[in-house]
Amino acid sequence: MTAGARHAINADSVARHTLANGATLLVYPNPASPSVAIGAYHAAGAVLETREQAGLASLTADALNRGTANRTFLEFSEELDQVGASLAFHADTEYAAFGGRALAEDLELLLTLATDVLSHPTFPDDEVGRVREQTLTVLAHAEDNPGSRAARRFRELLYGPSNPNGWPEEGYAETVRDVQGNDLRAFHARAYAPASLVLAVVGAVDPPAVLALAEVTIGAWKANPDAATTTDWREALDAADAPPAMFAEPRREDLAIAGKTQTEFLLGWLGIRRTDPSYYATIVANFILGQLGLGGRIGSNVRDTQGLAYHASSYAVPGLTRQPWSIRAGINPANVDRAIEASLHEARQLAETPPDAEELRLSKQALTGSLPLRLERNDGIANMLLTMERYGLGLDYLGAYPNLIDAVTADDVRDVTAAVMADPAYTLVTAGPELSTA
Amino acid sequence: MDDVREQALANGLAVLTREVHTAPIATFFIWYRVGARDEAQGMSGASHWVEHMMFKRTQRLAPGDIGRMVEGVGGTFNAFTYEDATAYHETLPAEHLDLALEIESDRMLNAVFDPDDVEAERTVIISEREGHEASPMFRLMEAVESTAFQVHPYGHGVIGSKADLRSMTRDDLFGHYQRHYGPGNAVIVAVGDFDTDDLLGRIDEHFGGFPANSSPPSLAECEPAQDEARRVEVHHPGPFPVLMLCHHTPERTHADCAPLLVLNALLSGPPSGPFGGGGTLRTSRLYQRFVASGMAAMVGADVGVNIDPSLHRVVVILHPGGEPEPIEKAVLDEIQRLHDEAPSQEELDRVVRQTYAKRAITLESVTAQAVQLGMLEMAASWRLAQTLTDDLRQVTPADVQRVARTYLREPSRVTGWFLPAAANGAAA
Repeated sequence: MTAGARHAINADSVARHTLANGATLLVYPNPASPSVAIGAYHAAGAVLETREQAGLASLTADALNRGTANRTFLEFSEELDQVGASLAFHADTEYAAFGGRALAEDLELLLTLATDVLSHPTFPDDEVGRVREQTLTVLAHAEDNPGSRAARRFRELLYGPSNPNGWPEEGYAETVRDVQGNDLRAFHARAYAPASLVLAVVGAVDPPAVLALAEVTIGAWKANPDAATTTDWREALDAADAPPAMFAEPRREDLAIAGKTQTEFLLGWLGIRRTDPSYYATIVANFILGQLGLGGRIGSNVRDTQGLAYHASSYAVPGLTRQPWSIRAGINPANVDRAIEASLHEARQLAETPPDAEELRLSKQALTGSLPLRLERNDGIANMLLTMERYGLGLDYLGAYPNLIDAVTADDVRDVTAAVMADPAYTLVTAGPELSTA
Repeated sequence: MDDVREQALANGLAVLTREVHTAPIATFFIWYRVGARDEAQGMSGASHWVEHMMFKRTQRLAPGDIGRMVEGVGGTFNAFTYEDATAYHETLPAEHLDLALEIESDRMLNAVFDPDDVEAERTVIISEREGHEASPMFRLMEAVESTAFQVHPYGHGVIGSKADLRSMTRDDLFGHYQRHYGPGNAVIVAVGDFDTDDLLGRIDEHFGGFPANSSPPSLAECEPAQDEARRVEVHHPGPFPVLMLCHHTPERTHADCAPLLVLNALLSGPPSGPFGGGGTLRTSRLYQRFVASGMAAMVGADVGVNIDPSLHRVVVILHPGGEPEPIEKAVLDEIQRLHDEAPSQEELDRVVRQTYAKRAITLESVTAQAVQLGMLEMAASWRLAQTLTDDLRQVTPADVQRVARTYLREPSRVTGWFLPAAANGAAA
């Protein structure tokens, strides 16, 4: 089984085209519902900003639809709201991205609006001011929330101050506060170009008609001759992938936030790239360690056996650059050290002893058997197509995926865990009420 | 939703099914008519705690078994508790749907409530509550609900008070389970890739042998009509002020619910699920007034449509340091506008069109369909899922104005503010 949709998603059923301007189009027809989903990414993420500009890529994406040469923000919103459609823009460390959903008959509207916004944004100062204020409010909330505060500081410590992986996508109050329309216009002119754009269209659509429509919308977006090339972006990405400074000892910071009753902690290491051959063994290992059931071995120990936490689990983040493999939990402040000890114990245990056959079998079946659920909706399929393109997995990836997972052995699980988590120099951040024992 | 089938087993267990063959998956929900509204004084949070215990031990299963069984075939599972009901669900590759029947038939009557498991879960639930306490919205909602409902159990929240969570005993919880779990107080909702007759046969095999029971009498006392506006302020460290301005609204079976959903759609956006509240549209009145103008950071509104009378809420998140008074005044202006001017027919047509599209998009997944059917059945009737768009189409501009004047009036108002304070309680 390779897909949740009735028909396999593979090189025969997905149409892949290069548009006249170099953008890549992927189309999968799924007549199961009367709707359509689009998703896209392109090389305009935070790797192209400096530490002093932290948040610029994100602000640019957020303000992109706030006015174009052809329509105001209100007109843009009215055209979408009129037909119950949505279209949203975002940027992360690596890429800028957008996604939308509509009735299939409104695909032309989605593509027309997306093209207008990508190619002719005006970043009017009053609208930029509002987006900036909203970002500052989001940042104030992130400072006050123990989970976000711990996660942000964790990345800063893990990557150091000069790596874009280490600063938050939304930036900092001091780097965002003075951003003006001119800054966003300059970033757009430099970073936004069609050559790196990958667009997926999934739903009740006819692929030849989508191709024709895409050529006259997204395909008509002309590159700014001064824009950075995909090669410039790749160089910036490689710089963000340079190994951060090594530490011999574990690092711990405890952040106090007034008025909180629970402590959130994040404990982790720098993991691997999504393109690393050991990625499949890593996701199996992570599933065993912190996902299976309610939080894998960590959840079982911290939550079920000791009753210390409502949530306790682990995450191996995928990315083109090396990303964290980490454990997080929300704990009563009195029990923080016990929960950290238990988490470290489980990580070390898996790094020393291969999992038993049954645990391995269940985790592998969970990862392969859940594909139909992940591919049930049009947006799920569109995201999968983008993942396949982003990491160069090929259009037959879903057919190969069960074999890639099945090939993982118990020793592989131990080895990939040891390669990351046997390192005594972990990074740990707690955030919550002041800890009396810290 | 025209092809939903409704059946009942001889012991009273109701079953709703809908075949959807677009993907090889199926979802199985079992809804129990027990939630915060069924909790007596001192028992707040019992329904939610019972939900947690259902993942522990039964006579057959040990803690963790359900996760291993469901995820071992690629499925997902979870449960949730709210004011009116508790629901358990598994979404599975279709050929494994029987696993859900095995799990749910087992824990309908056979959960053990081992005393050690109950104690371990006590700290887990207190931890869940303490996690919520980090949110200004949670603190404000608790204060507003307890101010709005002084008699009815909707006033005590789903998670329960810390005092009750510390004092409830294993036998209290087990008694709550025994009173409320059984075929007569439950509804199965299955949606997906199965043959209905075949599935009904298997449901009967798994659940048909259980003795009939009936729903226990409701403990929920009628909330006396509120005849004077109420206010509540929460002063606590936090990032920004938040306003929650509420009015009492009728139960979901009431004929005025459709015009209230339209009214709410004008304020914030069309209902995407069974309740008003599908995200705030940028062209909505509240977004334009507060966010597009830069006055506030976020705004939303919803109608809580429940078994018993509930609340219409407008929520505004201010920018850090934002002034409360102008915001509250502006919300009241928008409400006054609904009193003074009937909306145009064109605005109402647009709400119907948006609702149709939103539902077509959000009901793509079998899980979303089962949630919609189940929630409506708990509050009123699953048949509302079939008629929702038509019900909204019948609403006239005069209806919207009338419900605004009937329900969104000052004596029925509860105004809640979360106001950031320094750690010692003084204004920040």
